[in-house]
Amino acid sequence: MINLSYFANPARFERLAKTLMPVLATVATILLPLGLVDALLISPPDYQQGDAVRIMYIHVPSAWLSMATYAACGVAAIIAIVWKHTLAELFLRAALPFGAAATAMCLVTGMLWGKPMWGTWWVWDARLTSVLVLFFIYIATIALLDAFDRPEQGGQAAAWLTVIGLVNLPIIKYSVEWWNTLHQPSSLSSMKRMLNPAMAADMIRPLMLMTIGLTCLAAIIVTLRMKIEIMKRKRK
Amino acid sequence: MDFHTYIQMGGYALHVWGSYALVLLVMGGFTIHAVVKHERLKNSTGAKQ
Repeated sequence: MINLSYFANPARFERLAKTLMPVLATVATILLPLGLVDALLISPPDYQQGDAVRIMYIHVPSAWLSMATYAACGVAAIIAIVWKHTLAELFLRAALPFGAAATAMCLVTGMLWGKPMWGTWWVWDARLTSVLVLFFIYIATIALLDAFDRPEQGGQAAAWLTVIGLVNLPIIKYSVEWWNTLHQPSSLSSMKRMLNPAMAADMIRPLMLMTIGLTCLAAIIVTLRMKIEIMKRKRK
Repeated sequence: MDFHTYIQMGGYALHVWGSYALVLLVMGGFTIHAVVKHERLKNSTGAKQ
């Protein structure tokens, strides 16, 4: 089992970041231009949606980033509550604003895709509404971070709200199965779907390139923001 | 396919290019902000020491 407290030391985190950053930067620098060219030029238009399907190559990674960032924040929040590790609280400060931005990207790109395909920018169906709720949870948690005189108190309050908000993640994931929604069901997320995908290989390739590339860029952003938070805390 | 036809994206130009521009703006903005602030803090901390 990984000893999480091993990484809770800022000096060890700095060393780990120093090793990981060049790897992440290299992968992102290679995959993102390849993914963009594939998404915008090489991949074919959909037989029903036409070129509007190209929005999928950034909408799906945005949705993945919004949920993955929240799940990571959930783990950090539990560590912050149980072990009171400062690094976990600093992770929340670094990752929550980025997660909120990713959720906003997911919502807006979804609306831009929804208008030509569904004929409307927005419907109050379970998937769209639960993602909007995730956005509001992000905003509320960010607001809590600086709502107290002592930053540690704000960190603890935000951690509690993050843990409570974790209940929304399975609701988002299974909303398209539990309720009758306008949003389509997942095409790739389960192993069964992975083995028998409901998408052409020419479309899966740019989707994967963009998802991995944007995930690496997101990891770089959050790591840099965490280093900033550590430096700010050291100055106080 | 000529350039004009490609840019029109089958009539979905505003939706497709708008989405990509938004993602570029958000991800680019966060990256530049993080890099610039990190460098500035690193340099000022170094100058202090």
